[in-house]
Amino acid sequence: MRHTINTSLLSFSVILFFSLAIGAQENASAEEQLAARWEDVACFECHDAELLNFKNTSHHLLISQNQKVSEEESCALCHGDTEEHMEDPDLSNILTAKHSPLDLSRKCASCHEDAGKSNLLAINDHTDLDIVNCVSCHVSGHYEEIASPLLSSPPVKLCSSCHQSERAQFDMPFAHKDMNGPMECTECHNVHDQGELFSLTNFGSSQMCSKCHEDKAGPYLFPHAVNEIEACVACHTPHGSLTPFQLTRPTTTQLCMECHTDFFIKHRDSTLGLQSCVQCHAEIHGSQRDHLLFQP
Amino acid sequence: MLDQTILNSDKTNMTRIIEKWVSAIMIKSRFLFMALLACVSFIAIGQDHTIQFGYDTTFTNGNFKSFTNQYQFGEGFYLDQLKLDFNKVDTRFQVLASGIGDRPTQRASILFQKKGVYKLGLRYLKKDFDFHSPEYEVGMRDDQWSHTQLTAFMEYLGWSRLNLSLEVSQWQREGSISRPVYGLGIPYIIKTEFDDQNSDMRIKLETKKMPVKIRFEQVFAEYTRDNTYQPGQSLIQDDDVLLEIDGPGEDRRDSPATSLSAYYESEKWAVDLGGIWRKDQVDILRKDFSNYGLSNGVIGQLGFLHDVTGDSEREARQLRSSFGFKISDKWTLRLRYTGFDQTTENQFLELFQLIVQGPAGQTIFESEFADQSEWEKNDKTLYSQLEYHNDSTRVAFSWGERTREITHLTLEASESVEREAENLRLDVSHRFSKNMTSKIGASIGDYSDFIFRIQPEEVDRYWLRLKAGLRKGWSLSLKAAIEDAVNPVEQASLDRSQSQVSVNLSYSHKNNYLTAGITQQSFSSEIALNDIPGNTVNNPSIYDSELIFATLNGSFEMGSKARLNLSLSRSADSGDTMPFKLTQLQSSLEFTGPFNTFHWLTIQSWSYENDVFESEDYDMMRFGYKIGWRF
Repeated sequence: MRHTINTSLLSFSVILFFSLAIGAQENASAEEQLAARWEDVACFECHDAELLNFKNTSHHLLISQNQKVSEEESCALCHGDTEEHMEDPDLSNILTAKHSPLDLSRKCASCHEDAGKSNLLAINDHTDLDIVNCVSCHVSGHYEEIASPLLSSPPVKLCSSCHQSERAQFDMPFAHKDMNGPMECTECHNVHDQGELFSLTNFGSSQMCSKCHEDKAGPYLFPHAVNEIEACVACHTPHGSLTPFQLTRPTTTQLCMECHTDFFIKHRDSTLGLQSCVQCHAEIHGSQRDHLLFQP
Repeated sequence: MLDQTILNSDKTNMTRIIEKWVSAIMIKSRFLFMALLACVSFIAIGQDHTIQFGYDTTFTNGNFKSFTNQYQFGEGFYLDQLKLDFNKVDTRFQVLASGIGDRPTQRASILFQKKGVYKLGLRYLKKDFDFHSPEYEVGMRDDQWSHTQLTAFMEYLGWSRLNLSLEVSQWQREGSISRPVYGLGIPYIIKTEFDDQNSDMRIKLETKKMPVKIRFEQVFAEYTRDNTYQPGQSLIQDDDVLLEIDGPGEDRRDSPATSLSAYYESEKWAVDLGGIWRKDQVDILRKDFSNYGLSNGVIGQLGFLHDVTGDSEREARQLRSSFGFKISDKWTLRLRYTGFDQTTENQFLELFQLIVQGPAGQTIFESEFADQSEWEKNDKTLYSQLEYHNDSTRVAFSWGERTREITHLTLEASESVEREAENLRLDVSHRFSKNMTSKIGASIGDYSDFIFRIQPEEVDRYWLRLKAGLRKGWSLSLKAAIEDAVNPVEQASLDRSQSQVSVNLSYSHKNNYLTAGITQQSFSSEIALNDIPGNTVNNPSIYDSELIFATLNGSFEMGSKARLNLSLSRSADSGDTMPFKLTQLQSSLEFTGPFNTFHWLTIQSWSYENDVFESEDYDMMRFGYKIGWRF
């Protein structure tokens, strides 16, 4: 299988660079024609700066390719009826991200059906448009994206503007950090609440962790029951902790003894005394050959 | 990363430092040169390209290992950002890279897109880990390893009714970990050299512009592990030494997985049905041998041969259905059912040999053991929500029920336990004005039976959130939450409580902003350990954290060509478990230079004080310079 993967990767690279060569043949004249069409739109007599930014966005392309909507009508797709605004350039008679984020988000959902569907089905705060709406995180078509997809800030900054206590946990001594800040929230969380059903990598919390901690995914011939049943978060705090290995308790021993209350009975004659359990039971997640989890 | 001897200036030799730095500069310069060359070649075709590279140097006072355990940083030359973006109306070619050189996280990607038709790309990610057990933790761990992921992907969007995605990915881990492994009555340090690989291929089909949206995803994954051991010094001084260790052989896991879902939405109602099936099959063929010298081999040798042949098979299935019905413009009913079933079957044959080598010759004691076991986990969750929504207010009442049934079977015994949970939840949000929103909520949960003694019997949660856009660029947000969980005295006398309060105030004016925030978070857990023989008083296990996290972030224009960015944070935990104080300062002065260049001067500092283990303390200063060119 490894050979197959390597061959696939190589083939893929060849296809990619072959495609690049074809794609590099730019169609300058077509682009100029397209730009000229947009410059005739009445809105841009006042909003010429917005046109400059808009030309580089994917929204621009989609609207340009849509034969049912003229360039004249396209602004109204997001901003609502523009006629009154042309008479009176007051912000109250037009939809903008600053002026009416909630209404604008409803407009977004009319095309972005994946995000829109969560209104009827999903049960979380990110579907309550009063609290979090599209423009809370995404830039509209006129502005440069700071992070993909069309985000106004890197995901960590966006998330921590509401989830301050979670952000605080990443500043604990042992945390899932990437350099100086938290790891990207979206590496584990699906903000639009479609994760469990549509992505296999989100299939259960241990599968989520095993995207990076592949060696802990099991299954084990001799599993640690708590890992089999409650998975990683039974013993680890994913954001941050006061103790090494992001444990939920000060020491491994204390953590173990909360369930293994027969510790002293089994280790009555032990010369080891109260040392760390994982000194001997080193394969605490599970072992493929040892029911006492001493060895891998 | 340069090692600690370089950073502790009193121990270093100046010549060695210069040699190492010159060597590091030469190696990393190759990356920078290649990146620069790529940029120059792209000038001709223009558009939006950026290259930024920099150099950092670090000065430590205190425990450097403690710092590296908490922050994974490199030192030296690095490519901060490379962005070559050739973005035309209908095509896009983009190259992104960051961290190449002396950075623990390195990313790169290439994307070619024929807009609306197809996307082709490659993604590369490499992460380095460097971890050493703190002196107070007797685990004696020493991790130095990295994992690399390379992914090639293709999306075809050109069909009118179907999108197709293909992805091939390879994950690899290299490096080593040293840790104790139980041996001849005491733990010995074993160094494990990693050789792990995971390869997967996935295909995804998704319908579009059809009344019913169907998604299908198929994954084939293969994980192999062929690690090797090396003996280290025993953890406890002992005359019996580990002479030899060999094993363990290769593990291999095959994991096919399939997902299928269908979604339909109308003005009145929506339904979402889906299922996932995944199987993990591990084949184990292990033969380990360890040999100990008794009294340094003078008395004789003791060898252990452990031969295991077996397999472990885990099969998981999930069925999920969601239903949403708009009763009227203001009322919505939502129902969700999730069923999850996981079965793990294990069987093995174990051969064990004790080989005694003494002055009288060799004697072998042998035993064989075979067993099989099965774990079954069965979860069922039913959740319903009734929501009222008008222009300014939303009220949602939710009820949920969950059952978890666990069964463990071996040849000799079987155990089974079922735990049930019931949860009521109320959410109320109100928009006072276009700039001011509030939300309050409560959740009450009850559980029956216990799979683990530390599980709660009751969990109550309450929360409040307020967000207000004040006048003249000011905005304020407030968030508070509390949670309590308990279980009976005869179970484990669990008493767990946590609370959070956060206040954030921000001001923005034109291109300047200032944000100040403070978060107070407390967590306390107490669990009785009553079973200790001879213990007449309650001897609880306690975890206690009282964290205060304060931040001040700002960005200010200084004239037309410079910008000052500041970020100051202070974390202080005053709980009983591991009180500490951490102060961080990140500052950068950003200014434009000639030839479309941008420059950054950065100063970062960290100061950590552990109130229990002073040996963990450190003060760290880091200075950097970064140059960027936009063309």
